Formats: sequence, structure tokens, C-alpha cells
Amino acid sequence: MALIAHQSGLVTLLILSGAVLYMIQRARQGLKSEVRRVAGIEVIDEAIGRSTEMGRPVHITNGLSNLYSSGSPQTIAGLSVLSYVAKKCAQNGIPLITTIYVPETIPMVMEMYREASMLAGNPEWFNEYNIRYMSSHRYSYATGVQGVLQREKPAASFLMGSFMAEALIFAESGNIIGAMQVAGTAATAQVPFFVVACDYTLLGDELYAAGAYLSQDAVQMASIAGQDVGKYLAMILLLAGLILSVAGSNWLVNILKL
Amino acid sequence: MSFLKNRQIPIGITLVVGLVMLVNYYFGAALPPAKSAATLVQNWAVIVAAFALLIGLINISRIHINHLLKRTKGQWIFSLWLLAIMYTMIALGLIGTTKNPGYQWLYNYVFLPIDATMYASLAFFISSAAYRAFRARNLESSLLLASGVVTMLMNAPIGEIIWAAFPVIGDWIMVVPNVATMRAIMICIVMGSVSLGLRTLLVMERGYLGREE
Repeated sequence: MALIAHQSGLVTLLILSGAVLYMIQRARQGLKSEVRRVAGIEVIDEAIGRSTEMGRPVHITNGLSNLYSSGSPQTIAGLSVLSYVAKKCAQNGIPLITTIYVPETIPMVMEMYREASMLAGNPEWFNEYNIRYMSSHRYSYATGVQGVLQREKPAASFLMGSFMAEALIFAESGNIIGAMQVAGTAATAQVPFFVVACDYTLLGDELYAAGAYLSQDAVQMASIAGQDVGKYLAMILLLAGLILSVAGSNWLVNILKL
Repeated sequence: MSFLKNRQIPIGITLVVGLVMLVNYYFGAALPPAKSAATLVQNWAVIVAAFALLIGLINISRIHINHLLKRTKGQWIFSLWLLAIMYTMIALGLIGTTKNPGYQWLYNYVFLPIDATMYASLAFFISSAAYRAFRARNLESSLLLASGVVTMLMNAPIGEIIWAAFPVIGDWIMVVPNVATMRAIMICIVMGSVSLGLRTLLVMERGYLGREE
């Protein structure tokens, strides 16, 4: 039995980490990395501004994944967006309704609300009744979120995290009430639904980049540039694999299987 | 001072847990202590999550009791119904576990049909979303419309009767362009999650703990 499991994965991880760390180091030395603009992230402020003008609340939900499964990075990334949205809503003095499926995030969300209200110098903004645990059963959660959207008619709705079949229920319900919707997920099966029903969609890795992008911190932004190096590496591997396969060699496939 | 304001504690926990899981994934076979530490951490996570359900129960109860007390228009009657059903289910489950006939009746004849109804409502949402997506406004949406029609006819028995090539073209769309696009997105997702993981381990990504400035 091999002492090191997933050897090719480990090598790939080390290369990717090296690229990200290199970009971070460059940023620390003052060298700015070019990061492409992501419309779905840039429009978050506009959606909150629209809600403020209309005097209607903002809604956000972070999906189904708990904090200890393979989908947890999506929840972490979604919470990062939530903290930014909470800060902006507190500054503008408009209510932010958070609907929750994963109960262990309740204390985190509550703390984000409290911090956002303090930072904005608007302690009255904090209203724990706007942090609403729905259910940890998928369709009960979907029913609850749909009810909130229909009754309270938020002008902006953010769907950021891991979703399954309920994704379309949320997106279409938001569409019916005329909310400006920004969705982000790495659940590939749900991406088409979000693209169809939402105004902007963060595709896959864009959701993971959202936290760094929203921070506008040059060092964090550099890590996004680092992940682009990984994409180039993937392209090279794909091309090499294609050429070798056509030539009848399984060498690269066997290496990557290690 | 609030617990999360003192960020060193949650950040430290994240760092240690992240490293334990990473070391276990690659070196678990060679390092038995890493494997047992990872198992321990996973068990803790399950226990913490179970306790968090209690927080959820308190959260729901507080919100809906508040609606009841305030007699919130258009809401309080639903809050009353929710609380009544929720606590009835809890009481029946506690009295005779989930095998309790009353619990079973509520689950099988109230919960499951409502659950199935919600799932079924997706058909209508898909129809309305498809109507918007498949309007041929530009080249991209026209391509989407054409491939949507072909894959629909591939799945419908009548498609093959109309033209024998529909299943072949539909299958090609699903297996070649669809899989290629999905794999490209998956590769990008992996890059993104590695980058996010690194930022979290390097204590650069702290947005999930709230914004400091």
C-alpha cells in the first residue's frame, strides 16, 4: 500500500499552491496582478442600492451544504458574500433577511449582523428576527424561502452557496416578485437554472473568488491570479493528454491515476 | 467582547482542523495519529451540528412566537400552525420515537405529500424558466433553443418517429459539448477551491467571520 495517497493530486496541489503563493508574494512586494472583472460580483452594490431606493429589504441564502462536507467551501464563500452584504445593508439602513438551512451557521450570521451594525454606527439595524432558520429538510427550506420572498418582496436576492433542485424554486420565485437576483454556485447541475432565472450568475470558481474580490485587498486578489495559472496548467495537461491519446499512449492518464 | 471579535480563536481552530484533514487525506496511511485525529474531528463536527439543530429550534420558536404575540398581519396564523405542528411532531417523536403511530401518520400523510407537492411544483418553474431561456433573441439563445428542442425530442418517444437522427444528435449534444463544458467548469471549480482553501489556511480569507473594516 502506498504511504502517500493520491500522489498526482498532491503534486498538482503543490504546483497550484506554489502558483498562488508566488502571486501573493508578488502582491506583497507591490506588484499588482491583473484580475478579470466579474460582473456578478461588481453588481452586488447596485442590487443593494436598488433595494435602498425602493425601500424594500434584501434577501440572502447560503444553500444546503454544512460546514464539514465537500460542499463546505461554497458555504464559506457564501458567508463571505453575506458579511459584505450585511455591511452594506447596515450602512444603507435597509433590512437584510437571511434564510438558513444549516443551523450551525446561525451564530456566525448573527455575529456578522452584530458587527455590521456596529461598524456602520447603526446598532438599531441589528434585528435577530431577520436571521431565519427555515429547516434542514430541503423542500421545507424551499417552502420557507419561497414564502419569505412572496410575503416580504425583497428588491434584491442573493443565492450564494451549494444548491440542488430547490435552486430553481428560489430563482423563479425571486423572478416573479421582480427582485434583482445574483446567484453563485459550484453545483454544476444548478448553474443552468441560475443562468436562466437570475440577472447575474457567478459560475463555479467565481463564487470562491467573491470573498477576495469584495475585500479589494491586493494580496487576496493576487491569489485569484494564482488560480488562473492553474487553469493554464490544466489546459496544457488537456492538450498533452489529447495528443498522447491520439498517438496511442496512456502514459499521462496512468501518471494522473497515481 | 463578543466571541468572534476575538478572531484568533476561530481562526486557530480553522487552521488546525484544516491541516489535520489535509495531512490525513494524503498521509493518513503512513501516519495513523493523523487518521485518528481526523476521525475525531469529523465526529466532533457531527456532534456540534446536532447541537446546532437546537439553536435552529430556538430560532424558529422565537421568530414565530414573536409573530404570534404581535399578531403580525398575514403571518400569525401560519406561525401558530407551524408551532403547533412542529411541537406536536417533537412530542410524538419523544414519546414513542419515530415508530409512534401518531408520528408515522403525520409523517406519511401530511409531511410526505406536501414534500412531494413542492418537488412537483418544479415542473411549472422549469416551464416558465424554459419559456424565457428559449426565446430566440440572439445567436446564443437560438443555439440554446435548437439544442433544447433536439434533446427534448431525443428523450420523447415521438422524436425518433419524426426523425431517426434525433436520438443520435441529442446523444452527441449531451455527451460531447455538454460534458466538455461541464468538465471545464469543474476544473475551474477545483482551482477556485484550492485557492480558497489556501487563503483560509493562510488566514487571508476572513470574510466568513464578518467584515473587520
